Amino acid sequence: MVCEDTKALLPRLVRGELVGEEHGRVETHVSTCGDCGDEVALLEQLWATRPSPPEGLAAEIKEALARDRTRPHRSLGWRLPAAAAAVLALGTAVLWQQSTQTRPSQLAQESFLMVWPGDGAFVAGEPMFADLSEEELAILLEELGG
Amino acid sequence: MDLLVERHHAIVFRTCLAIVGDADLAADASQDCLIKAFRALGRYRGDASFRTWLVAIAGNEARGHLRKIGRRRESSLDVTPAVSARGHDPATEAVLRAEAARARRAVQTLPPKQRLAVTLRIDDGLSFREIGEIIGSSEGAARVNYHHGIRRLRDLLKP
Repeated sequence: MVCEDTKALLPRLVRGELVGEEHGRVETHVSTCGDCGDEVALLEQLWATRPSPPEGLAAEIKEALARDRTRPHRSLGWRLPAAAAAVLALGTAVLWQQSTQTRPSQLAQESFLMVWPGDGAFVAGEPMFADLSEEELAILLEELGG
Repeated sequence: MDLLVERHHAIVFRTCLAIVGDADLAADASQDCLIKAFRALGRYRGDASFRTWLVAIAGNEARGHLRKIGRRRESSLDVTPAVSARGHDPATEAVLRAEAARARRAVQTLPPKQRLAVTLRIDDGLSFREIGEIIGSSEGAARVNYHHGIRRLRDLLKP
């Protein structure tokens, strides 16, 4: 067995994957070849220091996958129509609001009409005509009527 | 799905670690890799083994994480190596552990393709064809990357 063929099998040797005749041939070559022996020593060091995932990583990934699966929306496929519908609804609402919204001047007028008291009306909790004399009241009514 | 995570998260983690050189970052990249892989499961065509497909995604994800944090991989490996050196006296065992840890650190100094070829071949037993698919080269080129990597490691670790 030549070195080139042997070296191709060395990773499997240190991983314990070689069996039977193949294992025997490789072992025989390594025991008589210093260069291949040195390479085996290096590979054994690497194999012995093979990094392991942090403890709990698998569980964390499973939890993350479960969370991801329960998320209702994942793709753009439904998002675009939904976004368009939302924009349309918002636009309609704004237009409707604008069409029915009372303008400031109208508001002022309505507000004036609303607070204009009739007989017996109260403003700030007090009868506004309570302190008027009969004469003052007559003048006020005349002005309003005019 | 849980079974697939159990079976493949270690190789995904080691692939990410070989690229980013940091255990925390590799763990994050591993998680993102598996989430993306399961989302894209419908696009898996079966023309590569599931493991190869997954490891290729891991490689992309790890490189993406490196780009995000805007740095090159770290030269130090902060994973405690599980060195098996039983059967020796404590002093010899300590020396063997130190040598093994040095060898592992040396892997992190290899160029990316050599590093991945060595890692995937020794740590996870992938074939050169699989490694070629993952690093984006032919089977022959994967073999050359592996052998160049081993030769460089032997030079680096010469007493």
